[in-house]
Amino acid sequence: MDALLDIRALSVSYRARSGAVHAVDRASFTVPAGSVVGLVGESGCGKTTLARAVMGVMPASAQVSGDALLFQGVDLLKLSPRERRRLAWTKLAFIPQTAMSALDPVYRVGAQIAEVLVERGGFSRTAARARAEELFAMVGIDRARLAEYPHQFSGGMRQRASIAIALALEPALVLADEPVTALDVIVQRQVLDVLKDLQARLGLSVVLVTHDISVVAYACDRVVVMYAGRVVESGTAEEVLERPRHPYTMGLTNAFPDLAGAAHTLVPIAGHPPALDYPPPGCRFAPRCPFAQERCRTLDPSTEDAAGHVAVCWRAEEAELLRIQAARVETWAAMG
Amino acid sequence: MAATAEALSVIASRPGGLRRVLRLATSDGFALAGTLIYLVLILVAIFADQIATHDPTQILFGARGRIARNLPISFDHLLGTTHGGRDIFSQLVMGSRSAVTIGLTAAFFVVLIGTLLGLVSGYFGGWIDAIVMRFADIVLGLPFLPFVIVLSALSRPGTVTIVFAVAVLLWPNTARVIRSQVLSLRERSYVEAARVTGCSTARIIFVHIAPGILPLSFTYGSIAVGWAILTEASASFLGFGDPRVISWGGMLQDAFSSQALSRGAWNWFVPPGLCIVLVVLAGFFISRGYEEILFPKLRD
Repeated sequence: MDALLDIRALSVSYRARSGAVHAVDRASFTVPAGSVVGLVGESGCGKTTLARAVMGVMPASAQVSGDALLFQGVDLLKLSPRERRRLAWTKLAFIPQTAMSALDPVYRVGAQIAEVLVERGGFSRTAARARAEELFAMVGIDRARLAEYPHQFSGGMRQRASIAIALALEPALVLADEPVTALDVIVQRQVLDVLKDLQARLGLSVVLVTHDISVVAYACDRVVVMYAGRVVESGTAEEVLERPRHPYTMGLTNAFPDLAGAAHTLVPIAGHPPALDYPPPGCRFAPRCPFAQERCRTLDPSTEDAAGHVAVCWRAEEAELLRIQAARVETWAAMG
Repeated sequence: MAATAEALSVIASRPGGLRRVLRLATSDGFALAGTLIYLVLILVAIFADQIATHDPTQILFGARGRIARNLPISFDHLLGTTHGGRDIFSQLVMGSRSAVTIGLTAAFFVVLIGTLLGLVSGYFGGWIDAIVMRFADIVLGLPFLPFVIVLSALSRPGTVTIVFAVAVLLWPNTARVIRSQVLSLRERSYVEAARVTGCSTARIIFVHIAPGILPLSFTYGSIAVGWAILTEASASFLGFGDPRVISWGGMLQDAFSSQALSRGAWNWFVPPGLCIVLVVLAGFFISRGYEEILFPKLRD
């Protein structure tokens, strides 16, 4: 499989009064063409920042650096803002977290789809009109509603409309930042189905940013787990969710109910992610990790690659054993 | 400015847009009253030549060659004549022209300068914002009437001076309010969404942010119309107006200096005063109605 997006040691820091905040620290992963990659982690672990850095939309206080950010073989970090703007939306599209408010309240939804088509895609007004109807049909909204304003749409419809806008110019990669977080589970399912179906039909790649493991399990081919600005584990969804090799991923999968499997006690991970202006030395998860050893607290963990299933943990080799312990409530309770 | 024109044309080209604007203008009593006053004012200003019964500057003579001064209301002179023997009704009608010209041009410049500086200042922030806002603070500190008087004394008193003074002195109010609204709008997700799509900065400002502050621009525009007419009236009343142009303020000054008040010649000083009050009020009435027309969400 060819990597459509290849992120190599990408770092993003924000200038703050207290000093630099390292929101993303040397994150590396790839997005193969035609796949759905889930980017998971707790709030504030750098998922959204990473997605924005790929889009190239950052506040002035942000500093992006890294070895390479290859998209279709082109290093985006080396492009000028003008060249990046040209790529935006035609090749790389974005589905925002707050589709509720991502639509401009003073224009009709149809006009907003047409705006992207005309301004960015070079469509004529009439062609844009036809394409907008086609897009609405794709995401399952009646075309008569193109003439309505965003406030007349329900949350799920607005989210589907923003998917329609993202797909308008047939991009190769869509970054979806928590696209279903604000929706109830039934609508979540509908929106994810639309996204999955279109992804398969159009052969595009999707990076799905979420904090919801069940969304990853339902929609993703591959998973990238982030913690405190670093990628801690990545691999195929099945591998990572069934046989996690990093204690944080073990904790995450424990903290969500399993509808298909037997009922089990949900085990929370005690504590909070560290502040990113002064991160702890060594493994950043060590202060919350029940399996942490001396070396975890002082030395950066090694990257263990087992046939594409990458874990950044000193004890990745012992994962088999740790998984059994991690499934017990007592293991994590001792940390609290 | 092409983008702003586009944004406006988008609003205008919506199906049933004009009908909805008309419906809204008539559904709100205040807006309707304001619109009617403006309509009458503009029509009178356009057809002033036809409506006026006499040449407003001509000194009229009665029988036996005497100046027809201080005549009461009659069919011949609808509002009587002045101390100088001129027809008051004709002066009132011609005075609407300077009111419309000064009011609209001054309001146009106030809105243009205030909106542009407010948008730029609010959107870019940083040192641009600091410069514009400190400059606005300085201008706000200038006393209004003394500034107009000094300006009139230094240059040729007249319409251009008044419009210039109003535009220079009133933009900070508009710019400040619009800037504060832009500060909020620029953080909205739809602005960020536009940025992600690769939208240019100019397009974000004029197509996505400007419509959100247009109602404010209109409100401050209609207030500026009133202010401009008041300023002109004040300056003319104090004798700093253009002596060759007939205006309502100039009429009041003429009436005042001819002791029309002590003689109880209400037919001379009440009509221009009333006209000024009505036009200023109409501006405020209309600004109330604009908001709904421009904010789709307020309609339902």
